[in-house]
Amino acid sequence: MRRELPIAITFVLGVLIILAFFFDSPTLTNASQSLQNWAVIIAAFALGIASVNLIQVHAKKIARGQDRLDWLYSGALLLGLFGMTVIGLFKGPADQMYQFWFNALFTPGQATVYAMTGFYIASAAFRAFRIRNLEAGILLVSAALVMLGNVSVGEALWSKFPVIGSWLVNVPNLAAQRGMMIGAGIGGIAGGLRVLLGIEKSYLGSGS
Amino acid sequence: MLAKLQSLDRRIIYLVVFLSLAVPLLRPIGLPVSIAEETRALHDFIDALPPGTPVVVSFDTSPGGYGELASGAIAILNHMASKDLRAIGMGFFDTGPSLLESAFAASLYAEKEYGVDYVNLGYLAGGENAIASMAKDLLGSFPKDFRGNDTKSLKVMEGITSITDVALVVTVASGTPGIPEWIRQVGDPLKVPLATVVVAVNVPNMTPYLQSGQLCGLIPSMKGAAGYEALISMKGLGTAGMDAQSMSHLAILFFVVLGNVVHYIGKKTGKAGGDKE
Amino acid sequence: MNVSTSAEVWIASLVTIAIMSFVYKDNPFYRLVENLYVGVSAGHALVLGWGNIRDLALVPMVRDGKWVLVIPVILGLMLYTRYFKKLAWLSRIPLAVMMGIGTGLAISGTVGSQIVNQVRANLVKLNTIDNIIIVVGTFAVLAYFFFMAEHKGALGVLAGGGRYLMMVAFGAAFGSTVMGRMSLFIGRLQYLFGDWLGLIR
Repeated sequence: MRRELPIAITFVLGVLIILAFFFDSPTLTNASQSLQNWAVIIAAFALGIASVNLIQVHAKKIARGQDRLDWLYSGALLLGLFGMTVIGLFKGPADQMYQFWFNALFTPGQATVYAMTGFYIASAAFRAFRIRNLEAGILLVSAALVMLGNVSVGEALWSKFPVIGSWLVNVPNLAAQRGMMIGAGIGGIAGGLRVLLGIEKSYLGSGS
Repeated sequence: MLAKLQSLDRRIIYLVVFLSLAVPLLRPIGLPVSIAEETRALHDFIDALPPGTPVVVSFDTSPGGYGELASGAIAILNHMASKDLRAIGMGFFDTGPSLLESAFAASLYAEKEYGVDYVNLGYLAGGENAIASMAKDLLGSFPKDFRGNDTKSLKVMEGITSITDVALVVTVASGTPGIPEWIRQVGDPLKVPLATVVVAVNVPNMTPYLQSGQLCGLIPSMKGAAGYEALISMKGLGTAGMDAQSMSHLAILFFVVLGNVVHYIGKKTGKAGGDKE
Repeated sequence: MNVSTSAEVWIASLVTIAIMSFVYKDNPFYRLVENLYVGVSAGHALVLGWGNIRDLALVPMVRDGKWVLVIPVILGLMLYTRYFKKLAWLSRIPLAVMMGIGTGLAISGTVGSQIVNQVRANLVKLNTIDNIIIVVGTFAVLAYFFFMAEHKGALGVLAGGGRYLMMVAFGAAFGSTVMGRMSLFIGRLQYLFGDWLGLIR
């Protein structure tokens, strides 16, 4: 019951959505539309789960109070979480004060974390991007030509670099991407069917 | 020498990359900018739209990805504003609408009237399902805009009850949900023209959609933004960043070559190593 | 030099520098800022989630009498039974609802967009070398993923070609990724040098 009921729900709803997509029936369309609206609401509830998890973990850390720095870090996290929540709930997310903290903390924080990957890709280029065999050689030459085709200095060095770079992306890359896309599409459908038929049930988690 | 290069401190690599980016930003060289065909296609599509035409701009990105997309998104908003097109903004990442507010403020829409010329409808949770739900009932999905106004009462929404009432959807996309989801739920089934401002890592994956006509245009990362800025004759962050792109690409290529030379000599002399991070 | 006087720009710039300091060495300043922004991001998700619940469920229920929406609200609340051992299994029901709808949507959309339309777009005249590469190349890559027969003979040659073609694609992806990563860093430097220090316009 605890596993069978969810599997049955997944199957029934999945089949209903597929039927509504392929058959022109007002009843099916209406049912499908209502279900999708419901799913938006459920997904909105799901957005709070990360916060609950974070509160659990960091409140415990503060309560333990072993390390003064840990206390500070967890305090900062909870301050950010509760601060934004309180401002957002009372004033709305478009409020000036809310946007201020979003732009002052969240945007630069995440943008810089992602930006740092620029350094790591440079380090990887030096340490790992080696011509060890023919495949690696093709990969490296393709990467170098696309890079030179992407920037103005490539064109300044040789006017054909952008032409070659663009051809690589638009012809051989297109063929490979299309092959992978069709393959992944077929694989995705097979995977989806496994979910609907209850063969794949890892999303239900462990336990009975 | 070889041993030193094999165990080169990663911070030296970082410093070289940093300088290759910082110096051209502070002392621009002004290398010419090329325009990709797919970027020109999007420009021409928007350029041909009559004033007042509604265009959806969906911010499906987080601050992490937006760093790469801001210049392209602002360029396209500037073009739309200069053509007096109605901008219908929304987002399927929870961070999208806040980033969209900043983008509107940084574009020519800041000089126009909110609710009349442009609107930020806000966020809808649930990824691909949310896009599908919005596609079936646009106004029902966004009864209030991001600023708390009643969506139906806004002049900018006049004549728009469904996503099929807009002439184009531009998704500013860095992940999931993004372009494939928009194509699956809106572009293909409802025949709404789709275009994207996309992160560079996804550019090669987009080529099948461009060739098949499922995407009518594309602004690839900063390079595309610089090209678009050239097309609308409004230089911005994209153009300003392209010299730094050139120099940093050369720096990375230098490290690729150096890494291979060190590896090759090391192998020949029997002193392999240096593969640690 | 025209240094910003905006508090928002100053805080954002200090946050940027704090995070950047990590490339030199992990340090408390970086940790503090990282935790702060993770907290802000979680709070933000909470606020936007609440906005959807209020506008799409609570208001229509109370104002328009659409009481049927109590079902997704209960399902949404059931997600939180995961925190109570005895009731935890109930959280699988809303997950199953989302999974069923999501899978149904993905399957139905994929057939047309990723398979039919892509196959159709591949039906081009074989009158140019580029078109021949696109058509044969697509088959070659598909052959590489075809595991129902041994990769020998013609199939082996085709699959081998597909493998090389994928290397070209992965190379193109790496080349593009470099542009992406550099764009991200340029964005932060433009903020520091431009918005904050006023060194560039």
